[in-house]
This record gives sequence, structure tokens and C-alpha cells, in this order.
Amino acid sequence: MRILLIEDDSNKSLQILDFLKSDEVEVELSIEHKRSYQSGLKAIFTEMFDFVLLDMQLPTFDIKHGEDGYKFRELAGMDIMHEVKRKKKKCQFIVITQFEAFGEGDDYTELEDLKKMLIQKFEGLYIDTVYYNPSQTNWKMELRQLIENRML
Amino acid sequence: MSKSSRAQRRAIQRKLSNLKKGGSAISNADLLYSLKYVLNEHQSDHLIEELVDEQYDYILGTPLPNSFQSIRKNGQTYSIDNLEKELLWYKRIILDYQPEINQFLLFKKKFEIQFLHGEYQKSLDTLTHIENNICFSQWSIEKRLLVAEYQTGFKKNKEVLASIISDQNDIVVNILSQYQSIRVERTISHLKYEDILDTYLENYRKRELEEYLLQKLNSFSKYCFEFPGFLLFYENNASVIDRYLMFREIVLQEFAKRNPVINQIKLRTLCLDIFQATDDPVFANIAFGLGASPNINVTSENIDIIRCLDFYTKGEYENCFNNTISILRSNPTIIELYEVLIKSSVRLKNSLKNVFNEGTIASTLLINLSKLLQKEDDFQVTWNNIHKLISNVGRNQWTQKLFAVIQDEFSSYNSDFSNSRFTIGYSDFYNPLLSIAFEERRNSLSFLDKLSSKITESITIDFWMELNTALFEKSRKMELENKQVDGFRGTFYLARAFQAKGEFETSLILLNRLEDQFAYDSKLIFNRLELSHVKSVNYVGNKDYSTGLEFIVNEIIEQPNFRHKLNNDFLIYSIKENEDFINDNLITVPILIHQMLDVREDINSNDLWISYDNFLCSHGFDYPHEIIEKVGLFDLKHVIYFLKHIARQSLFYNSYMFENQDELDNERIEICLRLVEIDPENLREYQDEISEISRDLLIRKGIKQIDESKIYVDVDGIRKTLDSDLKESFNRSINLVNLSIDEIEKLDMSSENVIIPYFGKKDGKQEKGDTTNLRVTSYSRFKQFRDMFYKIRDKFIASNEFGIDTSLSMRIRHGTLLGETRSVYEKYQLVTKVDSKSGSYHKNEYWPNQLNLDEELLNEFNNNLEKFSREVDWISDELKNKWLQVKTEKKLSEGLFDYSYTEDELITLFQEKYGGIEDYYEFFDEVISELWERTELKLGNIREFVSVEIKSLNIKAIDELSQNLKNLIDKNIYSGMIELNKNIISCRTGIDNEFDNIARWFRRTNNRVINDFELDLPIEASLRTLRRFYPDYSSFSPKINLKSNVVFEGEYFTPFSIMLQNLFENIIKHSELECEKLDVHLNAFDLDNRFILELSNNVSKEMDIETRNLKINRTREVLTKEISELTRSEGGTGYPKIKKILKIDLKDNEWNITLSEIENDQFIVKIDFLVDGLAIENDENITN
Repeated sequence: MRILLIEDDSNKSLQILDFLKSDEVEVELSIEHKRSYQSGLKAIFTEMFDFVLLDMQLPTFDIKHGEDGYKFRELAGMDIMHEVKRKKKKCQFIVITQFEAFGEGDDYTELEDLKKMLIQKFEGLYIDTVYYNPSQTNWKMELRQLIENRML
Repeated sequence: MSKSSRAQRRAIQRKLSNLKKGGSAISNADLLYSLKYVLNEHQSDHLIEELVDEQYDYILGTPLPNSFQSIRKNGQTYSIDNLEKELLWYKRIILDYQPEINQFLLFKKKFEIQFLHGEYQKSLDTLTHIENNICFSQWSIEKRLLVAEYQTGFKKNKEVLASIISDQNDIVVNILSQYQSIRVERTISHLKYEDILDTYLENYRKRELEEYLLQKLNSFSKYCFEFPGFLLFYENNASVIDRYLMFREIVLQEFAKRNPVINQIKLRTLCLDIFQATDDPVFANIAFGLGASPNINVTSENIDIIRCLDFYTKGEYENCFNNTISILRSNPTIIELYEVLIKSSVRLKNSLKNVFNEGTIASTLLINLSKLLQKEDDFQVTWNNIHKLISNVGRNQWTQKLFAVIQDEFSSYNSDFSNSRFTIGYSDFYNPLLSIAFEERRNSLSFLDKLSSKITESITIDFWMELNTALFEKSRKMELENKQVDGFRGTFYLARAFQAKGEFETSLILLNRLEDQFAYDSKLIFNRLELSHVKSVNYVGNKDYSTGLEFIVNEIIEQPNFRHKLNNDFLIYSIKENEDFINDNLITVPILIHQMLDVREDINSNDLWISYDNFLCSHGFDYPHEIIEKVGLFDLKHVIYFLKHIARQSLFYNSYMFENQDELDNERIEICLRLVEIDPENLREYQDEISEISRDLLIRKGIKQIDESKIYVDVDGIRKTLDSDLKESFNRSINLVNLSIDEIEKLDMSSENVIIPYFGKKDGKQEKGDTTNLRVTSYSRFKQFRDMFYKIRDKFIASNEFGIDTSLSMRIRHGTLLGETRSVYEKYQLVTKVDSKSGSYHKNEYWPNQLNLDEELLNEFNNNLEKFSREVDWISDELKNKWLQVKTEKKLSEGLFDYSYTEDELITLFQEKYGGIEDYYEFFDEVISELWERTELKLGNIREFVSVEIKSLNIKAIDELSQNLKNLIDKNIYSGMIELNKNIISCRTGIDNEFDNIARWFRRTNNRVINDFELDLPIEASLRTLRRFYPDYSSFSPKINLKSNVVFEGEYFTPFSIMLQNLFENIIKHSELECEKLDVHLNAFDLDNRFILELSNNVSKEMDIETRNLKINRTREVLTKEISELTRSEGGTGYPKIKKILKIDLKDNEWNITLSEIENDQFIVKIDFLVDGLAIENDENITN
């Protein structure tokens, strides 16, 4: 099973990658890791993945030596799904986020509402959202469950 | 009368009778409630006759207040929203006070004429007359404030307000007056006023009340009010003037609604009743529209207006021009005539200069309307000027007409409300144009019939009659029979009539013919706008979408100010919904979306991206510049528009084809280069853009170069300083090579290691382990090697001029490190700064405001944040002061730059590497090479340490803060906690990236990307870095006056940038001023082979100048001394570091730094240095 992880936080990435490679997940996974909107989107459009683990907030470009990743995209995950939907690319997404709420002002959305909105907007693309909390292990169980369900 | 209704009346009568007998009373409010809402009109009449005076006075309220204090006294009951009942109740009051209302209407008109003519004193006299002879009112308060502001200004406005506001007033009077006073301010934009008012209205939870205040204070903000019954209810205790004005607006609104609440027959009867009593044309207009045909009195002014319109309709512009001026001078409130006057003046090429007295509102209005209609100057500025005026004055007949004129610049259709019906109905004279606003054509014809019976032989009335007849009789063949009508106008309106009937193709044929026959008229800008609008609607109506799209796009390209009027809902909707009949491969699709970006609220940059990307993909283009390869497929002006306005970095960044910002910029440069070829007319514009982008690219490269040159040692400098000393020692040591073992033993009798074996050189190489080449030498020679090694090493690490510790101090430890890390925390408002006087941390002001914590929680919260600030600063301090330090065998520390070499290590080095070297220069280079090797090793450790250890210390501190705050504050009670948590998580990721970035500083690179530069480049690079370090100073923008063409060698870019960064940072750190209060000037110029920098800035008036001047004097003394340890110390002003840059990096022994003492809150520093040796020769090419 081929998975793409799009995540810019190295600590969170490490946790997720360690978990996916561990014995706790009884599925053999091949994982590719991208760290920005651009590199993630490029991988989706140029390669094939069974599903994508997607962070919501990302820099536009990979942060490299002497580069700051350009504009930070508050809802990069959603932008990626929009592009995939618009270009009718076959791909499925599990959002994995540390945030309980997104956006500001009129765009403010809490996680539960975001889930409902994603189901509505990205039917067939969006699988579910996992709330990641580094100090808890619930996210691992939820993620494992989702991955194993994909296998069925 | 039904049984229940009779019972209700009897119950109220019983209560009234009880009251008279001294029994339990019905309250006045209950009584009013019953009269207004429970009983029918007849019952109320009957009962009112039975009321005692006190009751009658109460239910009437105070219709004629004789002071501001008596406005809104009595006359109120319980809140209800029943429009029909309110209208009937208001009718009763209006009929009762008919003389006062008529008198008011007369003087109101007089006031408005005087106001527009700038006769402010007379207008005040009129207001006084109204107050003394009719009554005080909120209307007169508003006008007093308006005149005060326009006559004298802000101060007078507030003085008048102060004279009105009183504890004795009803609270609503005070509130309305306060906000009316703000609204009339001439210097406040209508958007700003809306912001202020919105903030106030947020306090109101009751939407009805919020709407009432909005109607009174910003009526133009809403077309149609949702709670008209409540609005009338709330105004019921106001003066009869305010009640009448509110009543008239609500009735008009009902008339203009496409689905009115009130039965139209009832509304018509109501209007006829009011019209009979007041002779107010507004109610006649409405009655005509609802099918009545009241008998109207047409004033001589009304007849004169129609005659002017007749002249215009016939195309007799000279007569029209002269007559219109004459009418407008006597009554400048007739907005319809401004338009006629302006259009006639354009035909006649007449000036509008002397129509009104200069400086009057009428004159300003005429100028602005002329600009608007002729699309002169900036459309938005003119539009805003007019909007500002109508917002200041508030709604009345002429401002409503003005509002309609500016609204007409937009193509908008409101499915609930007819703005044109509202506006034309609001007219205080009888205008034939009203006929087109009626739903029923028969009502239009009835109105025009009535008008023509009063105003005979009017070509305008006849013309509208013809058009209405043609529209009304659907089968009738439409052609213009009236030959007197100006040909252009006649054909144009006929085409519009065909459009209204849905005959789009015929309409288009007529319009095309019109453009051929009346080329001059068709090109007049206001005619062309109308023509283009009607044509665009015809194309879409005719389902010829791609032609319509192209037509609209072309018109807007030629006249960008047409974009508001040519905004076509159907086309935009179809594009957004990706309807099949709009093809993705049309270049006009992204162009239209771009043109509509600032016109429509439902269009945003994402829509533009989608249309742009769809277009590129449909043609197989990966990059926008590729369009040039197929330029023949498209209209060239479309390609130019697309590349010039749309294909920009702000869209590219959505594409996965670009991997970094440089690629975005390079694509834009590529496009500009293509634009130069296909649009040479705008060559300069494209060249400027290329220069701007190239400069930006260069600045980014420069900043990158600075980042990459943080680890720096001036090896040449060390060599020059040590050469003479070391050469002598080295040569002496070489002499020892040739001594015999005996001689060596005698030489080193005091030492245990008398003989040192080493590998000699064979074929020019010293190879370890090659025993055939094993040699021995004296310990003395080794000692000499050791001393030379230490000398070079010490200079390498600790020289004030050349060493690594100096560059660490100047380029990392001094400000930069703390700036980088703190900027992330500050971005998320998680840390505060230390108060320089008390040494304690400032309180966090941002989050407590967001969270609204109670006092106990607030203290705990503040303690947590202060602890956090202290902790992250402590980590940075530890990194800076403990770990990013140099360590040697003599200078014992925990420093990670460990350059200590034990004797054993040195012996090994000597044996394996240095013993066989017989050339001094080779020896020196080898030692430097060893030191770099050690440096590389240590840099690797430091990178690891920063990106793992230091990062995890910071992450741990963030996690602790997060947990502590979660334990302390319940997010279910304090909703702001969700936002705070979000910020903490984002900050955590930011810190994660930031320490990876900082770790990358610790590399030894010699990349030089800047080959040569002018001073503006390091200025901008240093400012950008500081703006990043100090988020509160993100708009820090000194005024730069650079008068020099000196081009410097690229190698000096980093020292210049660091020097300028130090200078600017001093201002931020020591001026004690917030960013927006700073006034900083940098003059830079060259004179007689010297470069001069003069930097001046203001300082806080609260500053302790004496102490600061003492510090300046101490710095002056330091600068007179030799470059010292101070260069490697952090904190302070950094002037010793600037001195070091001038003397060592810029190699100038004649440098000057002049620090002036602070005087008049100004600090000035002047620096000058030699240009020779820094600048490239004039005839060299500039390669960047």
C-alpha cells in the first residue's frame, strides 16, 4: 500500500512515520513524505498513492536553506483537495491535524464542522480527519483503524 | 363588527371608566397599545374622543417638542412589528398635524437650497425658524451638526454636539446625535464611519433596534429594511417631523418592494389620503404607480424642468444648457438636471466652471458628477467623493437621487427591491421618467396622460408615451414616430424597448445601425457606456455567450471604468459553475474574471486561478509564457492583457510547476521579456518591472549570502599579521632538521621526550606509515611547531579583527539569534519583552483581551506567560553565552567550538602531517586546513545540537505552556482558548522550522552570489531582516535619500549589510518609540572619494536624555580606542562592531563615526569612509 504523507512539522512527521512503520500497523506500507503544498501536490499529480495523509496548514514551498517557504497557507490541505477534485484526479485523503479550529473571523470553523464540510465538499475524496495530539495515543488507534479499513 | 372586537372595545372602555372613578387604572402604555394594535380604526377614533387630556397627551407623545429635551417624551408602548397598524396610526397623526408638516416641507426645501449654495448662516436661520415655528426634531439636530461641520469644521461640530447632549434628553436623542455628529465629519470616509457604527451596533442583540439605528444613522447602507413596522413603532414618540420622514420612507419602500407586505389597494388609499392633506408629490407618485390618478398641481418650476428635458430630448443643447443653469441656480437640488447640463456641455464644449459659486457644495457636486459621467480621473475617488457627501447629509430627495446615479455605475439587479422605483418615486417634482418605473404600463400611461394635461406640448412626455405604448401593446410594431426627438436618443431608447420585450437581435441591429449613423454621439463616453451595457445584455439574452464575453472584455480593456456597469451576472455565474456553453479554452474567461475581481464580492483570486489554470491546461501549456508560442490563436490585445495583468506570481504560486519563489519571479521576468516584444508601447513599464523583480531576487540572494557567511575567518588578515613573526620561527625550526641525534640530545636535556619521530616527505608527500621515510627531530622543533600552531589557531579563533569568535559575535550572537527565535514567538503573541528599567517582563496584552479572563485566572495566566518568556529567553541566552562559544585548552568553557589541542594530539599532527613540511606557506596553509577541518567537525556537532537539543528545549517549553494553560482555562467557558491553542500549535511548528533554519547557519560556505552592488541593496536587505526580527516593526521604513552611483565589490555586501543592520537596529532598540512614531532619515552620498552615511532619528519625549547622552559619550570614548574585546561582546549599541567593519572588513584606516548628543529629541550618527578599494572601477561591467 502506497501512502503519501504531506506534513511540514518534523516532530509530527517523525511520530507518524514511526507509527506507520511500527508493528502496531499490520499492513505493509510504502510511505513517501512531502513537506509543502507544492511538493505534495506535485507528488499527487505525478505518482500514484492509495491515499494521502494530509496536514491542513503548510508552507507553499519546501523550506530549504535560505528560503522561507513563501506564503504560509492556512488551509493548504483544503487547497490541495480542491485541486485534486477540480482536475478529477483519483486520490483519497485522511486529514491529520493538531488543530481544533481553523480560519479566522467569518471563516472560523471548528474541527467537527470542518469534518462535515469536507464530507460534503469532497465526497469520494475525503475519508476522515484524525485529531493528532502528541501527548496522547488516540490518534494512532484512529489512524490504524482507517488504514485497515482501506485494506478491506 | 365581530363579537370579539366589540368585547375588546368594551373591556377597554370599562377600564377607562374605572380610571375616571379612581379605580384600578389602565396604564397609558396599555391604552396606546390597545388603540394602535387591538382596535380597528373606527373603534380607536371612538375611544380617543373619550380620553381625558392627560391620556390624550400621553398617547400623542410630544409631536411638537419645543426644545431638544422634550423630544421623545411620552407616546410609547410595547414593542411590536405590525406595519399596517403603524401606518394607520401615523396617518392619524399626519392628518392631525397637516399644517405643520406642510410648513416643514416648504422650509426644508429652502434649507437644502441654501445648504447646497453654501449659504450656511441663512440655512441656520431657516433651521431656527423651523424650530421656533414648527418644532425641534432629530432632523434639525442632524442638520445643525451638518452645517456646523461644513461652515466651520470639526471643532464647531463638536461644540454644537456638546450644546445638544444633555442628561435631560431622552437617551435615544443623545445616541443619535453623537453618531450623527460623527457621520457629518468631512474628514471621515463613509467606510470608516460604517466601521465605527458597526462596532457600536454590535452591542445590540435585538435586530429590530439595530435596524432602527441603522435607518437613522446610515440609511444608505440598506436598500430595504426588514422590520418596517418596528421602525415606525420606535419612531412613534419622536417629533412629527421625524415621524413624517420615517413614514414617507417606509411607504416608499413598500412601493418599491417587489413583494410588498401591505395590500396595494390599502397602500394606494393611504397615499391618496396623505397626498390630499400634504400635496407632497411623493405620495402622488406612489398613487399613480398603484393605479390611481390623483389630481396634481404642477408648479412653474416643474414646468421649467420639463422644458429643459424637452430641449435635451430634441437635441437643442444650447437652449438646454442655458435654461438648466438658470433653474439649477435657483434650485440646485434637482439632480436630474445636473446630468442633462453635463451632457449638453460636452456636446457644446462649454465650461461648467461658473455655474455655481466656487467652493459651494453644488459646485463640488457638479464637478464630481461631471468626472463620474465622463470617466475622468480615478473612478473610485470620484465615486467615493459623492458617496461621502450623501453619507454626510443623510437620506433626502436629492441625496437619494445622487445615490441612484452612483449606483447606476454598477450593473445590479435586486430581486426584492426596485431602487429606481424608490428613487423616482422620491422625486419632489413630477418627472415623466417615473413612467418606466411602474410595473403596469397602463399606470404609466395614466400618469403621462395626467402630466400632459398639465404640461402641454412636451416632447419628453410624448416620447415616453410612445415608448410605453409600444411596450404595453406587445403586438404593435415598434418604430419611432416622433421625428422631433434627437435621432441618437430616439433609436437608443427604441433599442432598449426591444430589449425589454425580449427581442434582442432586433435591438442589436438597431444599436449597430445607431453606431454607424451617429458615430459622434456613440463615442461620447457616457453614451458609449449605455450602448455597451445594452449591447452586452442583448448578446447574453440572445445566447451568443462567447461574442458577449469577448465584447465585454474588449470594452473593459479599452475603458476600465466600464467594468462596474458591464458586470453581467449570468455570464459570471455560468463561468463559476463551469457551464458547458462557456469553453475553458477561451482566453476571455480569465480576463473577465480578472476584470471583475474588484467589482463583485463573489469573485476572488481562487476563481481567477481556476479560470487561468483551466485555460492553460486546455491549450497544453505548463507555463504561461508558452502562450507566446501560439500567439496567433488569440487576439493580441487579449494575450497582452493576460500576460500583463493575470500571469503574475500571485497566481503562479498555486501551481505545482514552481518549486520556490525564485522560480515564480523568473517566470514573471520571462513574461515581461515577451511583453516587451509584443507590446513595445509599454516597454518602460516592463523594464521597470524586470528591474524591480531582479532587485528583489538579488536582495533575497543577498540575505541568503549573509545567512551563509555567518561562519567567517579572514585568513588573509591572519596571514598578513603573523607572517613576519612566524616566518622567522619556521625558518629557525627548519635549521633544527639538520642536527645529529647527539646534538639534539644536548639541546633537549631538560625534556623527557628528547627525540620526536616523524614521517618525512617523499616525492613531495608526507605519508603516514611509510617507515622508509621515518625521521627523528628534536623536541625543541616540536615546541616551535606547537607555538606556531597555537599562534595561528589563536588568531583563527579569537582575533578581534579576523577570528571566528568575532564573526560569531557579530553575525550570530549580537541580536541575530534572539531576533530569529523571538520573531516566531512574537508572531503568535506568546512572549513579551523585558522592561529595560524594571527588568521584569511586560504583561501580555493580546491574549487577555481575547480571553476575557476573571482576575484570578488572569494573574495565573500572566504568570504562565511570563514564565514562558523567561524560559525561552533563557534557552537563547544559554545557547548564545554558553554553547556558541569558543573553547581551548586555556579557555575552559562548555563552548561547542572546541579548538583545544592536547600535546599528544599535536605530536600526532606533527608526526603525521607537519614534520616534513619545509616551506612556510605550505605550513601555514596546512595549519589553516587543520583548523577548518576542526571547524567543520564542530559545526556538524553544533547543527545537531541546535536542531535537536535546543529545539527540543524550546518545544518542551511550548508543550508545558500549552498543558499549563489547558489545565488552567476551560475552552468550553473561554472560547478564545481554541484560538490560543491554535497559535501555540502553529508556533510549535514555526519553532521546529526555525531551529532547523538556525542550524543551517553553522556551515562553512564561500558562496558569493552578489558580484557587485549599489548601497540600496544592503539597505533593503538589512531592513527586511529587521522587519522579520521585530514583528512590531514590520512596517519600519526609513526615508532613504541615496545620491551615489558607486558600485561596490560583491565581497563587501555582507559587511555593509551587517553595519546597516546594526545602525537601524539601534534605532529600534534605543529610540523608545513605537514603529509608527519613528521618523528615520538616511542620507547616503559620495563626495571626494569618501562615502558618507547620515542617519537621523527621533527619540521618545519621555527618554532620560541626560543618561542617554552619557552613554553616547562613553561609546565615543570606546571608539577612540583600539579594536578590543568589546568587538566580541554582545549587547550595547554595536558601534565597536561597526568600527571593526570599517577598519578591518572595509580596510579603511581613515574611517569616521560621529555620534551627536541627543538634542530636540533627535539623534544623528554620521559615518564616512574611503571609497577607494571598495568600489569597482568605472569601466568594469556590472554583472548582477
